[in-house]
Amino acid sequence: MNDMSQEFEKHIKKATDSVRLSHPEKIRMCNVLESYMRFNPLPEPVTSYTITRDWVIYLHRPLAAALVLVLVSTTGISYAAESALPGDVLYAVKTKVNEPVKVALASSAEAKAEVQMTLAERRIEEATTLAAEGRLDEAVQESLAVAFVSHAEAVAEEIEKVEAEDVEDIAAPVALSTRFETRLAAREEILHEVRSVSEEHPNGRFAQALGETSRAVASIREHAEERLAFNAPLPADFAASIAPSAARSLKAEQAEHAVKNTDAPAITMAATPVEAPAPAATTSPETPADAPDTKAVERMRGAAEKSLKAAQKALRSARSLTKDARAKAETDIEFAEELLNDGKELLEDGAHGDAFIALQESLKTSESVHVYIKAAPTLEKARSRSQRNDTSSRDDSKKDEQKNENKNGDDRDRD
Amino acid sequence: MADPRRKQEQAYLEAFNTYSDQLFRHAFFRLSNRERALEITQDAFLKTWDYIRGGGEVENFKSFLYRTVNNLIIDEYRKTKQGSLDEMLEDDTGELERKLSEGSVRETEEKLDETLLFERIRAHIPELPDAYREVVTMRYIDGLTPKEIAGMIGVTENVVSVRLHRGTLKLRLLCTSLYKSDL
Repeated sequence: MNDMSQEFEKHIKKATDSVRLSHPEKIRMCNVLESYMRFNPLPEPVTSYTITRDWVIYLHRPLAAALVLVLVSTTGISYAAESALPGDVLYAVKTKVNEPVKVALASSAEAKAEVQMTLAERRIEEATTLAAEGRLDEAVQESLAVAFVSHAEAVAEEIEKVEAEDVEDIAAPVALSTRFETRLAAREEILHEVRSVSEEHPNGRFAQALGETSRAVASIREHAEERLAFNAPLPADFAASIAPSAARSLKAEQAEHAVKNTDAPAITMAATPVEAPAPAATTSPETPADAPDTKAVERMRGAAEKSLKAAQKALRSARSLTKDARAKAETDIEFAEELLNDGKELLEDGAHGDAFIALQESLKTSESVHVYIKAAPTLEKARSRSQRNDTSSRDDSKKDEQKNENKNGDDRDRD
Repeated sequence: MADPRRKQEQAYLEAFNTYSDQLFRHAFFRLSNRERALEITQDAFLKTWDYIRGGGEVENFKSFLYRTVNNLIIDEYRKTKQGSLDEMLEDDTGELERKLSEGSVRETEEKLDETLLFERIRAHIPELPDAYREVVTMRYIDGLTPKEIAGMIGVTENVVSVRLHRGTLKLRLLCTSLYKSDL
């Protein structure tokens, strides 16, 4: 009996031995483990840190990234990485560690949209800075364009989610897309100008991606506005129907592709091409049924107020603005304030449609002046760099520059 | 400078090469589902990595991995099956032994073609109550000692021996009785 038993036990072993992972199964599993190890690397020994691009680059997982950020930020690397540019060693830390953490930490769709918006803008900022330093080559443009488009797509997705999540809150997606559109437009112009000043061909791969995205965002904004059940073109008498300051806004809008110049403090940055007032529009203002409800207008007011405050704060803390640039920013901020007040008054009067537009305009103005304040130093850098180049080169280029300036002046006159 | 992390990674991957097959085999016979067994094996390794990453020390990969797989399998049972393990145990060992000692069973077992018997064994292991299957798998398939098994599943060595005995009897009976009924 015992023999029999032992025999049988051996049989169990023999019978089951053939069951094992197939070669492909084993390889696949091994691959899974290895990539898991890469995404979730062992924490760094506290005593010595050696950041090699190797493993930082694989940190896609927010959780792992958060862990690393905690470790790394104690050494200040994470902070230092924040200003890194493509090509810098720390750039990988910035885009693969810091930024995914920011996205992961944003809880709501709206917050996520905000973060992605900031990240998309950062890619433009980086392109602009590199252009100002004359370092924006084709390869960098390509990778920045890819990163930018993916962030912009994420913004669009989150805006969609905001739309789907809260059907009541129809103003939120409008506010979000308006802000994004405005900021993109402002950044686009700055990039364009920096590249023109640096005498580079301004229409590179990045500019192209930026232009396409701007158009896509505009259509998202239009789509969101449709849900307001009020997308009527501005009535012809709109300018007269609200406070005089709004008339300025309309004028500014019509000035498409206005060339920005710090020498011209009077030009508003709010140059997002919005639909021009339809000339054939009837004079009757929107019927109440078409107007957005109070809640939507309130929401837009909140958004406009927030943007204005952010722009004011940016101006206060801006250290390196030239006198002209500061004056121009101040003018625009005042203008945004006026528009905001107009909007509030109109809201009290019950003119919801007009109030919404005025508030949206205020939002646009605040956003673009905000971008301008942030980007002005880069613009200065590009200018001084091109001037340096000019003085060190022959007189011809100086003439060219003068010609350029004259051209800018012409553009300004056309405004 | 030798990075201690590289060492840990090395040890972990080595453990995968050494133990993945037997862990998978174990899961396979416990769950009688190849796909789930694959997933659970992988999960066990991932969890082990998480543990190491969280600062845990794995002194003995083999028993750590077995414990992890075993816990995952038990979770799996909880999800799919009702009733405690005790209810699934059978106490009629005497009955089983009586049946086995009958000449007919012994003869048939001896006569069984080896490959056929192996096939039977593979087919019937999943039919064992899990408390038996667990120890039988660990002991005879994975080659763990009763002491190791006791440590892994948290019972005394005695209990392991009893379950092994009953489990083996039961399996033999299953394998041979089917042969009989085939006739």
